[in-house]
Amino acid sequence: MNILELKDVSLTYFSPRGETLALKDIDMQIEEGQFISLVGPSGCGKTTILSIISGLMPATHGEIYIDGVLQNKHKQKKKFFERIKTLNKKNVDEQKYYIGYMFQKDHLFEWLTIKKNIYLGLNIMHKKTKENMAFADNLLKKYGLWDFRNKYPNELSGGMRQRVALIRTLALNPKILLLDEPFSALDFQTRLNVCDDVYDIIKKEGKTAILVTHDISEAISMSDKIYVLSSRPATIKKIYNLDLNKTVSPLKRREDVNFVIYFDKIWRDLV
Amino acid sequence: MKTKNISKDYSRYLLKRKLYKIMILAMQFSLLAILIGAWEILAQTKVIDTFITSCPSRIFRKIVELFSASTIWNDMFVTLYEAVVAFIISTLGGTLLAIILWWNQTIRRVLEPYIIVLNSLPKVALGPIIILIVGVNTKAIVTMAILIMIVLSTINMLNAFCAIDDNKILLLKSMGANKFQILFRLVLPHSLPDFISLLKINVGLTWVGTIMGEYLVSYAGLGYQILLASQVFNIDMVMACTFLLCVLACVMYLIVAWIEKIVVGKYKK
Repeated sequence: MNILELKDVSLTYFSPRGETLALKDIDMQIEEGQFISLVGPSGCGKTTILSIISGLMPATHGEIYIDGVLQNKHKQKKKFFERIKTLNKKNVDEQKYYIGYMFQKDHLFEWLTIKKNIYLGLNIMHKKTKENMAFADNLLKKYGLWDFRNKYPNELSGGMRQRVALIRTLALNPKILLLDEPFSALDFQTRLNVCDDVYDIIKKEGKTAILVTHDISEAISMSDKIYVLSSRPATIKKIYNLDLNKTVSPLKRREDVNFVIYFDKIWRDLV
Repeated sequence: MKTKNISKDYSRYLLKRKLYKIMILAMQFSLLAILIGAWEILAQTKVIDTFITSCPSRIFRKIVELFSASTIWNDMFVTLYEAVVAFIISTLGGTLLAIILWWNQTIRRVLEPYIIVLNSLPKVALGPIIILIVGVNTKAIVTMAILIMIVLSTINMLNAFCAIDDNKILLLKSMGANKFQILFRLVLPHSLPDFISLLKINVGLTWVGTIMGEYLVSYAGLGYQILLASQVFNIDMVMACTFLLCVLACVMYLIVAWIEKIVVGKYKK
């Protein structure tokens, strides 16, 4: 079964100046453990798709299924009193954490130590149990950030900060990771390294990932499948199931003979 | 990073830094000495009229006299009390108002023109009205000081709240945070440096408000003493009280600076 499925998803923005069709008939099927990339011309609405998947933004039409469960049933607005009642409920069971979101900037909180930054999600979800904290600590240890746990974000390099941001997302143990151009704020060399690191972490933790990027080579080097989007209103223009050696790191994959061929094709799609 | 084995070059660098600091301090003190000395000499040689400008030695003598008579303690306490109360009320009140305005966009939109008008209004002009409403007492002084600060405080804090990167809010929302959590986990701690700079602004303004208020209506306080003394051309007294005011304001500022160091020093360089 597909872990994530989008059926005919469309989105229209409304503003005083008029309405804009941003997304049109987006269909996606994503299997568990896959690494997916969305590429497309800038401003086409790639990030919007992530926002819809994560539930931060409602789709105008269409259906989203996670693990076969329909997500965007028109949520009934809870009555005020019910909202107050659930405000400080310790277990937010009904709202299972399926989706982790990683942004372009790391958005680490400057006033919290690395460790407290990692616990942020646990705090918010009221899930700060011993096991969950140990799980988060273990992630720090596993990915070489344990020694920095009591430092503040401004004492870390850009690449390290981005890894911390990833671990903060992983600490809630999401099944699906949404990556919104997570490397574009880094310089090129760091970018290649962090890209490898992040890929490694995601694969080791067995996560499904959806990456939004306008870097074609980044998409090819990391993904199993690439969705090429058209310019606004964004539709799916092409789907590539990549046939590269999946056992090697993203950096190594750039040396694959097929890499250039894919790059050329996708480049043409975008022009 | 601290290293135990300091190289020769590094210790020379440290020494240089230290010397520079000492030099700056020395220059600051000598500037003060020159200013005071020049003032005193000009006054002694009758180049300037001490009836209008007084002179350092007389101011010093006046201060000694004031403290031996010991009524000045009461005046200092009254003014300090008014300043501190107004400072606390308007800083916290302004922050609270800003939270309300941040929380509810409708209230923010509705109140926007009122805030603009209140902000541009010279609050001192409200003096007579304040006296009519609050009465001729300390409350009127505190009210005056609060009026001067609270609108500014609200606007400053609201700007700080609204300047937070939307993606940071999205991050919390993606973790399922509600508005209370966004407020307490992101908005308030993120605005702490802005709150501290608001403290610094208000530490200055609260004295403006308090002294304005005392000029308007008072029976005690440094502002009252200054007003009284100036009416009988007792310039020594005016200068002495002004000096004491300076000292009080400085101490209050230093306390705020110290708070800043403790609160944000650990993560802000």
